[in-house]
Amino acid sequence: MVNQPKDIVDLIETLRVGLLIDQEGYALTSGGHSNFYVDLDYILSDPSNVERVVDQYTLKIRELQGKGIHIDRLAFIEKDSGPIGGLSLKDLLIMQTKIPAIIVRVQRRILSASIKGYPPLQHGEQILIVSDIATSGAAILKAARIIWHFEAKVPHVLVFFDRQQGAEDNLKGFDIELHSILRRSDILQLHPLLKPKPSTLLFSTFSVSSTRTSP
Amino acid sequence: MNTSNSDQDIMQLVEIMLLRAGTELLNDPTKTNYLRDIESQLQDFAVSSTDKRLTFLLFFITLLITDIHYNLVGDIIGVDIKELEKVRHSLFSLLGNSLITIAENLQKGDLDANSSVYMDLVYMYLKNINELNSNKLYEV
Repeated sequence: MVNQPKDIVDLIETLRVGLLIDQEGYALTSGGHSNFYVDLDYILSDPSNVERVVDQYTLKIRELQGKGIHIDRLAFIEKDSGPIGGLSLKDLLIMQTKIPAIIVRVQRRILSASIKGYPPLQHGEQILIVSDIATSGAAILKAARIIWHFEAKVPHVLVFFDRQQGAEDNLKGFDIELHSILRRSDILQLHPLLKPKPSTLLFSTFSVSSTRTSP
Repeated sequence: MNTSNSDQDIMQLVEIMLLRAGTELLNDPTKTNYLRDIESQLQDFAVSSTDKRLTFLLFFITLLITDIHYNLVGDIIGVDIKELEKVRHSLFSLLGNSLITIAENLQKGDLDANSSVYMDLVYMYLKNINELNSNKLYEV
């Protein structure tokens, strides 16, 4: 199971190319800063990672369905910054989960053009938003608001990585439950080096070893 | 006004381009090919211009063209096509007229006169989009 520590270690090890650490910090799209950065696009640029990531998403979706959560369609976000992140997994996840999907185009000004997918969204449809990273949850909420215009429901969101920087609480305020494959605390637990206030440049490419200690 | 020779060249080229784009849109507001063709060249000029007002004009025009194309051109499922065509027709006609006015102001070297043209364009563009949305045309 994905939540067992060994699997988390394996997952982080597999995906290390997308975990970048730098003492200067990264400017996040949420407006905040972080001393490390998870980029699904980097991760998915390595063919060997694609299957692993798709499997993790699929497992999690099946886990949600197993808990009785009904999903009519998956929703992928075409962000302000373009067709990146979770959107690149759309077709693979449709194939694996057999659940149809839509694209939410948050930059579109005409509402009907904001949703791409057939048939059009129906009143009461249960939508699972699938995204890459959750920080404050603002991008997810923007997409949810568009879906709500069509009177469909967004009770759950699944992200690859939860930065645990407010998204869960912010989304809860709108009755949206956040689910994730990997959380910031998973990485922090495994890597004490990632705790705040790094005094020196650590490394630019994250490499995980369960026996690693601070230099 | 601090306009270098190269800015003068850019202004002349932009004037010719905008005049042609505006005239073509007025003749047929459904044909936006030329507008699309000049978009990247205008973007390049925006970077190479040293005149702030010219840079602003080029930056604004290219962003607006991109935004209008992204939002109004192509099939939009769920919108009443007649309503959409009406909006497209009126906006591209307005854009055509505005581009001609901007070109004429460039010819006079009066770039400051364009600010009211920019405001009218953006106001009408967003107002029309808002009307399309408020009519709940996305319901099919």
